[in-house]
Amino acid sequence: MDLSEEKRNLDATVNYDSVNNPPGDWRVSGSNPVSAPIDSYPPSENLISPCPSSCSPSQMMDSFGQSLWGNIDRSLEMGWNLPNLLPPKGFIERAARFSLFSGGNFSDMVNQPLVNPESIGLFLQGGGTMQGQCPSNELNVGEPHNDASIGLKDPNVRSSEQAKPNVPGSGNVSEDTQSSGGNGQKGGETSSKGFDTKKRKRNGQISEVHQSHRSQQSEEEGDNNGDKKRNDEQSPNSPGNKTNSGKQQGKQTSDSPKDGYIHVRARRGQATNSHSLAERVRREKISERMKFLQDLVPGCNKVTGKAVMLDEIINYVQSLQRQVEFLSMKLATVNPQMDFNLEGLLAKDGLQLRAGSSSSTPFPQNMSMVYPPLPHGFMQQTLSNIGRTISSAPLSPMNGGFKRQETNGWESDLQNVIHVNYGAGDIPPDPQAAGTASLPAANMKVEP
Amino acid sequence: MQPTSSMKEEFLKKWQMGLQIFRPSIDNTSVSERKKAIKLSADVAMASLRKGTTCWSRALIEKTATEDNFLVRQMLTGIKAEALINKKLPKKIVCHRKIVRRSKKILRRKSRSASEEAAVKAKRLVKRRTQGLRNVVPGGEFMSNDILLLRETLDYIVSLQTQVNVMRSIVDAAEAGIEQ
Repeated sequence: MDLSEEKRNLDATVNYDSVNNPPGDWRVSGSNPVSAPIDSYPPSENLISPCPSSCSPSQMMDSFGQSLWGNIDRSLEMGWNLPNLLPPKGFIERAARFSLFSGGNFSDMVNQPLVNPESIGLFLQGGGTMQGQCPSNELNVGEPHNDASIGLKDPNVRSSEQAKPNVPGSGNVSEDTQSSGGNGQKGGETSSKGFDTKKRKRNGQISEVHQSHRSQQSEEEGDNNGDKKRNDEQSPNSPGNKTNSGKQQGKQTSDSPKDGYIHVRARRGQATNSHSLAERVRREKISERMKFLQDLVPGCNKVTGKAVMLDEIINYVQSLQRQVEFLSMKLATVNPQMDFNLEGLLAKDGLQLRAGSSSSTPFPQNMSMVYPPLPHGFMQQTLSNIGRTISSAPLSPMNGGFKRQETNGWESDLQNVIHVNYGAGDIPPDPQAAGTASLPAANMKVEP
Repeated sequence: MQPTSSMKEEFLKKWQMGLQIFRPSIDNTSVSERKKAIKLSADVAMASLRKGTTCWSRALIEKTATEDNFLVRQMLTGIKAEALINKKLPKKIVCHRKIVRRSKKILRRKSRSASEEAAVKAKRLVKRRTQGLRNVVPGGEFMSNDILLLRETLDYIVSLQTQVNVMRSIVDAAEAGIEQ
């Protein structure tokens, strides 16, 4: 009989001890898109086990009716020997909520109290195109599972043809990426870390489901393409990403190009190896971090490519460190007693002035202050380094710092000032007098 | 994420506290000593801002502690961050050169197409740069993956910016005070 045959197929494919099976093996309905929404969830144990060889997805999807659930439940219960994998009740409900094949009846399904194995079956079947369907409870996103996901059923069903291996780690990682993208840098990262620890105890695919659902929720559009969803989530963060713009049309997943390292989900024809997926997720994360860094490092907006960006970042960090050195040296000379009168300084609104007029302060004045009487060689070398760094790296004015137009005259000015200050002596017998003596000289020299 | 004024204030307070501790030991000494003290206290203050959540802050405190353990400890107690000094760093990432060289030789034997070669070169560049970044960022050697490294770099850059801003303000104010 048809049903029993199917059931046997399912039993054969169950492979419960491969909880963390490389998602590359997992394919749900890889070949035939299901056009008609199917009310039932043919539980394919694809979530846990490799299935492509044994089950023909279309068979499964077409033949399973709601009445089959009872049989499947039994089979699942029998074979379900992964105690640690049994998702908690809440998860089951969530898993039940998304499905590939129940277009309009989904909301009904959701409200039904589902027995665990049934729900698992639901979830298993829906694993193929979990994107956009994942309930968000676990994510603490606070977005209600709205019907927007339901509207996606048919297109998702169509897109379910793609092999969608899931990477256990990738879901977590992408979750991290997206949450960090969504919530801003720090908060997002901490919250996503919480997600990660929670998620890692569960099946990786579940986490990916959640992640894809999140991406879809954040979009709040009936976006068919799971990849597009992820892209669109990323798009606020990566407006310039060409793959994003390419995906933001109503293209089916199967037709979209394979490239684009934003995507976590393996598309049709792509390597569904767990390694490549994890790598893709990793690249996603790295690119997101690089974007943040681009905002932070001045003058990096036009730069593309990891190597050049990293170069800029290294230069910037080095220049900042050198600045700290200079400033501390300057402070040491300006105030030998080291009695930095905070109240007095603050009373003069030193800090406020600094913050307010940081970019407008003409640089030469600052320059004069940066040159304390130092050992000749050290100062020259470091300052010339700074000059070189600044002229090479297109640093925009930062807090009264490096201004492009100043860099040309830097080297010569530096030399002059150093000589002047050096002549004043680096360990003046009378600190106060020496300080005042050196400063006017420097000012005279450097003032434009 | 730019340095906020609250961060600057916090840093300033901690720095001041540290300088108070340092002052008795460094009176009328050479400029370099003073500069070292200032920088040390500033670094410790900057690292303590993060309260040990980031890798670089712990590594920075370790570094400063090796130079002048006693004073650093004092400073940390002063700013109520003693826990920082005892935090353990993860294991250092060590590359065994022989193994790396041998594997590279094996990889090189495989013939590559033109496009592949470009990708390989790009990868090599990126690797070299990340290694350079590890050298620059304190505690970079302890960060196992690139993602963590980038995150730490972000944080470190923001803290450095705070530090530079505050120091510059102080210098300006001190200069203004002297000129008057």
